[in-house]
Amino acid sequence: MKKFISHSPEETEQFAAQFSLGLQGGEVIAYRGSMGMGKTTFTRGLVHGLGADNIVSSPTFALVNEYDTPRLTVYHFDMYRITSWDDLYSTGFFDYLDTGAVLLIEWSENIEGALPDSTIIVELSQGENDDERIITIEDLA
Amino acid sequence: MRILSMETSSFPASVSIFEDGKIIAENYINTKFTHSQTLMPMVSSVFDFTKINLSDIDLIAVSEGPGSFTGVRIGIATAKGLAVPGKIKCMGISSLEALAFNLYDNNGEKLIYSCIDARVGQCYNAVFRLINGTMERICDDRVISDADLKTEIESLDTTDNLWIVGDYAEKVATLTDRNVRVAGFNLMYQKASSVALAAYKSYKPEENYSAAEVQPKYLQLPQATRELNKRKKENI
Repeated sequence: MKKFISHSPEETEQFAAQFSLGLQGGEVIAYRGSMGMGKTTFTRGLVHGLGADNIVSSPTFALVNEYDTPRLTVYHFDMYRITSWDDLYSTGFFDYLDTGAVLLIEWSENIEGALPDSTIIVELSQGENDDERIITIEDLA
Repeated sequence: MRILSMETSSFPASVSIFEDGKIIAENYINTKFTHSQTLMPMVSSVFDFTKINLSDIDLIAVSEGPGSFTGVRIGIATAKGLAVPGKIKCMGISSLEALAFNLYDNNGEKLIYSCIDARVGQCYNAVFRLINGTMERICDDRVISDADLKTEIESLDTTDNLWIVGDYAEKVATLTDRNVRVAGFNLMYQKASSVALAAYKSYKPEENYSAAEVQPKYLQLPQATRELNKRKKENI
């Protein structure tokens, strides 16, 4: 398990950019963390690290955003409104799994039964003071 | 009769123009999913190369699944978009039935199992009997587990000339010791010309075939009984 303490959104982004350098394509990254913990911020940093500009936005409304980066395609999901397997199918989640893209999943708690064994869990939680976040990265299995 | 057909229900994407039993043009690719980007250029190209216009088309046939959620809808939406303005007849064809037509021939008899991977040890499946050029459907499109499929295949008459087609075919062949024929590499996957042939064989001139009636075919997967939100279950 990797652990990182972030003191600002910028630090979260930098850590995520560093993390992105190790991605090969095909990874499923499941975020755990409540509102305001930095899931979209982490995503922004990760996508920057893959060489793209400021193209990340919250997928809450659209359910999934697609980002083209020079290295990899990224699909950024928000499962907040997903409550059933039928809902999950309708996001195209299962179609995207086989494409060699990187999948980033906010509110992954809602679809834990569908995550592949190889999923990487990125958990973001409150640190000691308001600005601080604890970020841990580990494998699901 | 001229048919424009499309198949995007799974990984391959293809388009064909079919006229009175002959494939006039076919465009096929089998790379990663980008049907939303590739389909319209493929449709344009078959029209360009053949100098046939959309207005020359009598029927648009499209694969309605089962298969990929997004792939099926890309195909159907495109078919409807092409059919509606000129009020062209539009027919949905089961992807499993079209796969059976990959193995079409005029003579002899085949018992055909079309099998498409549906994950977690199950597949989308339908069974067809082809006798002297007539394709007869034996069961509705369904989802079936590996275990049930093995039991069923092993209960078949040993004299049946059993063929398996579709991306799950090789897996199905490993499930049983029974003698089975697996479709060759060039006949294994979904393709538009088979969608056209299936449409051609079932077409009735007196029917409307309105584009509005074409719908994605959705088969409920049994795994829906497994809890999706595991943590919610733990909290109860």
